Amino acid sequence: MAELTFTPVIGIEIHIRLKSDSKLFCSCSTDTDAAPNTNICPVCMGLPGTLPRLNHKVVEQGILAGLALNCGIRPKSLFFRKSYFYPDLPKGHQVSQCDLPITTSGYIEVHDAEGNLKKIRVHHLHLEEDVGSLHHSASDGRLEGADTSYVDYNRCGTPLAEIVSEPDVASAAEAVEYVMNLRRRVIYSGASDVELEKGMMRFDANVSMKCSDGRWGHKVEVKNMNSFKALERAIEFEIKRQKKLMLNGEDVIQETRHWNDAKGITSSSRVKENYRKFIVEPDLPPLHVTQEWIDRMKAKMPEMPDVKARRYVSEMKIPPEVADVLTDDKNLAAYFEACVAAGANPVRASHWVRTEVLRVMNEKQWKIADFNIKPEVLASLVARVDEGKISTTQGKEVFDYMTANNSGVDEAIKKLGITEGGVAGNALNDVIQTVLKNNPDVLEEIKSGKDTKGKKLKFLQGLVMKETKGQAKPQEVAEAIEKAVRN
Amino acid sequence: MKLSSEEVNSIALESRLLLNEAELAGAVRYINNFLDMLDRFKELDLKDVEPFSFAEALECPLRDDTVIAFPDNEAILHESEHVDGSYFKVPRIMEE
Ligand SMILES: [Zn+2]
Repeated sequence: MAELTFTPVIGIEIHIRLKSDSKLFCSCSTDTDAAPNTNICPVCMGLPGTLPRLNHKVVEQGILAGLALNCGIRPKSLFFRKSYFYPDLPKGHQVSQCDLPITTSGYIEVHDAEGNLKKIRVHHLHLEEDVGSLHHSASDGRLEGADTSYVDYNRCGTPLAEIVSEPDVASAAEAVEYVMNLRRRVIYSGASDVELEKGMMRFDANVSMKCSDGRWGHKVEVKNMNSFKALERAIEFEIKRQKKLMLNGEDVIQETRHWNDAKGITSSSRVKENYRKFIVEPDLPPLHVTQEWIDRMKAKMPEMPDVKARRYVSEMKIPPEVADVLTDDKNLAAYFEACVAAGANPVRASHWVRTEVLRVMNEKQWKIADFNIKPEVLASLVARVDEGKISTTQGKEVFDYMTANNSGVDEAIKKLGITEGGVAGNALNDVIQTVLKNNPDVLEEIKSGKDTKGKKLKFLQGLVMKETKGQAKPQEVAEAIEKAVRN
Repeated sequence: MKLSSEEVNSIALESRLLLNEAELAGAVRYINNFLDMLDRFKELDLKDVEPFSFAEALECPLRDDTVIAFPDNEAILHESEHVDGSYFKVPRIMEE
């Protein structure tokens, strides 16, 4: 009897906060960290007699985000009122483009279990408004019994992009790569900073299982994941849970489940959403986006991070893992490209940026914009190391001196007492002769053949390297000492 | 299409409306009459007709992304009887 196998079928819904100064339909600030209920107005509070007015910038951000996901842009989209009875949204409905979104379909590439590139299709991206935030204790930390929640509507009406994937995701790992890649692309497009710690990206996952005996489990919607880790753990938990049920011949119930991050489990949600019906928002006529507008947005789109990383690998022969690190941040990639444009060897420059530049940024908590060695200066340092004018160790000393003292390469080399071109030839022989003269006993031992393991020879090499401050090539030192000892 | 009184009742509950028996019967009749009227449209051939949502070919007006703070958020807080400091208070929402 063949063993049963299970294939997870996963679709992911993502909410990303789009970057704008004011809310989607009113001029309130999008600063959600402000004192509670200070960024509210009659429009976002749904008071009678108000009219929503769509934010031009948010439409552009939606177009940019859509283009970043390889989506087409629809010339005409429409807003709807989706009934929603929950105290974090005072209108009783959420305004959303759910049924006629601003984008058509797109895709994001990930690696499958075999390491091959595979497309996760994006069904669409649409614009909608966010809800307020509920707190279960007052601002002073006081809990007013178990029967009160506190509502802050500062977030209510801030702009979101909802991104719905097709059920093409086959594992938790693919899900994480999908959302990470998508996030990087959206950040590159400028549509959002997608700061995870600020809750700017939230995930829901639809998980079902296909069994090799032909059975299909029902779809379960898992909600409330706010981090990559939570998304990964929630999907892994749900795959295991559903597999166990199906192995026992039980049914997977179609339901909404809530991810509890602290407990690491999903549990059946008690909130029933029977009537999530929608009507056309009568206060917002159709949104028309002209081809000219789309073209203008397309012209703004930078090269996408995964495309860039692949180009680094194919054109510059940079190792894929280094290319990934360099393209993680658009500005870091720009810095690296400026180094290369200034003449640095791409592979060497990539290692310098990845190890040294990132180390200093990390130590000083700097962004690349704060980093004080200009790309052309780093390029010049890389070139000198590359040409063997100074050693790698010295190069690192020069690098550290430059960041610590805001100096250029020449000044650093001078201050550190480094001789460019290194110690070689006659200068090296002079050093070796001095070392031999100062260690006659060692020399005698070698000459008498007692140094069978070459330990004493190594010892002398070490002394010479120290005398030359590492400016001699080890291979050359070894050869020169052997020659000197034999004479 | 006909809605049962159970369905109408659960829609009412979603809308936070508590209907007595007579009101429920009235609502069922009212809604179903409306749905009957919509059924009559099905007799028409609407294959090539675009769904209609706006009476005129209106453009969606757009505004610039400029922050204009509403001058009196206190007044909005005063619209509610259930306020604590600068928070609105609502019955506790139980979430896992
Ligand atoms: Zn507002």
